[in-house]
Amino acid sequence: MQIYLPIAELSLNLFFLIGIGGAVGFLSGLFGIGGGFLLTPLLIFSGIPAPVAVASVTGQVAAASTSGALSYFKRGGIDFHLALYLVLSGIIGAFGGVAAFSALRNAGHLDLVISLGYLLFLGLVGLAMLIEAARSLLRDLKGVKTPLKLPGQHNWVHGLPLRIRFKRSKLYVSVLPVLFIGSSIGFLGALLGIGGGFILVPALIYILRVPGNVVIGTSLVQVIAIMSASTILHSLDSQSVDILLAFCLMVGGVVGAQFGASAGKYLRGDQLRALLALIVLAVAIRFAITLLIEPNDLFSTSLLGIGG
Amino acid sequence: MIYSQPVFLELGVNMIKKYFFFLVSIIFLFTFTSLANAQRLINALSDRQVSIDSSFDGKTISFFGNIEPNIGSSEKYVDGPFHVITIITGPELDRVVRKKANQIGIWLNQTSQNYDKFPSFYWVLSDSNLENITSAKILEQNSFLPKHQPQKALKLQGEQNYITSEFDQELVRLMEEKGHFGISTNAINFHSDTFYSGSLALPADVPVGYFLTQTYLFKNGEIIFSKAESFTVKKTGFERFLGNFANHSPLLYGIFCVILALFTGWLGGVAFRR
Repeated sequence: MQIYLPIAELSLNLFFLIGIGGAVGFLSGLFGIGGGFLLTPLLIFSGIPAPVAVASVTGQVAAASTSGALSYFKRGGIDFHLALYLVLSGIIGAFGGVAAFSALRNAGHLDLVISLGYLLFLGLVGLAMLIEAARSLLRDLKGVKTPLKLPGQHNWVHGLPLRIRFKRSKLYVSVLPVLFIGSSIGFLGALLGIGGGFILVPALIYILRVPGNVVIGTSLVQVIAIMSASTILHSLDSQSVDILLAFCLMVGGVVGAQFGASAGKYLRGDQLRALLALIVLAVAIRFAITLLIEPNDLFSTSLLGIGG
Repeated sequence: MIYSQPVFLELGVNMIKKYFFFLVSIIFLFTFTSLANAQRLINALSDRQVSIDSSFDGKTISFFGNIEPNIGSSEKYVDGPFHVITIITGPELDRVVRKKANQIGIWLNQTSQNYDKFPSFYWVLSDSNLENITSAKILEQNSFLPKHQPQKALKLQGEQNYITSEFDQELVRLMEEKGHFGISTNAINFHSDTFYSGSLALPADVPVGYFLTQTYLFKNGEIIFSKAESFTVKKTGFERFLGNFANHSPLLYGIFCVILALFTGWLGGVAFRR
């Protein structure tokens, strides 16, 4: 059954859209990620113009993160004081990201920057995750129990000026790294159409030492805020948010996430992380191929101005 | 008004004053009928408006026409053989063509050429091979073919000494691969000596806007009559509402998208709670 997407101005199979939304939703439930970094490339590769794909996925990620955030909220797993700083800096970052997005599109380099951005971030994050997961799996094989680095240990970041106390996270930390992390994730999220949870969670754990019981809930709040802001900013700036496309993906994603979350119970944490690392690396390699291998067609054409 | 000169010279000034209106009408009639053709074309399109709704997956536009003696013409019958070329042009939009090149190991867009007011859709339909219908010279003079469109757009945007570049033909190739440009020499069929019909399948990603169909009647390789008609492709119903909503009140639209996202996420969380 074909469905016409009014902003993308093309028609795609409805079941295909709900299907990829569901598949990515399954993975997002399994790994506790938003899934934007998988969904945006999938949409681009299935022929949806990059601006529409990026802008519409922001809506889908906001939806996917909401149900997760609600359950963390009920458990008290959100540090709203920390989230406030992350959200405010994130929204400023999102403004920058959307501005960069439209400047790059007009210059014809948007596709390049999206590909390069995905390659760099997914490549680095995937590699780091893979190494970490492999170490943990190896330790397990040898039967050695090494104590994990616990939050609470201080590093140089904690010594920066303008320190603030975050009670729920049991942190007394400079506001500068918090604002830096928040705005970078906001910038990247709006530019690349990713929630950034898979960068934000490690950053909060390893740089700020946010304890495990509040880190995911707090990062979900930040992801919802950035993705909501990006959706509105993309609507204002390029009018490239396709609500019908976003809605099909949301429906698939929300349902898929529930099954993913139940499936996640049967896998161990380090196995999950290794699996996620492989998926992240596969997407990075896919982008490397488009950048490094001579394209079949050197020429491309697009419309100038709004909607191009 | 080449006939007016000798007539005016023969008549006196008074006569001109007296018979001014009579004269003007004679001259007008003379000029008009001599320029007009012996034949005319009566034609029609199947659709004045193509509506895009949520199940839109392309649409076939049909058209038909009849060649008959012109009003006031002394001939009772038209003399063939006739040929017909119909050109369907979509809305003109500003377009850019970019070429990738390898720089420090990665492939990126390097050079580009802009084409202002370039047709987003251009199909040439005919009843026979174009070389059977007319000469390449006439086709080129009138910029009839898809390959003439880039040069036409560049001339209109005032590129004076612009030389044909690879971008021109690559643009036409890209548009043809999308199915938005093309030539179909068997899209029109003559059912009798004078009656024809034809059709064109608009693809699912047809551009939205005003389409011009220009029909040219050929006899012995010359254009003897032409007629323009138009149709519009527009979103209707819910699709139209969403398109307008996104364009006219983007802030509200964005906020609405966010509310929808948050609501869907919340509903999913509630519906699947175990």
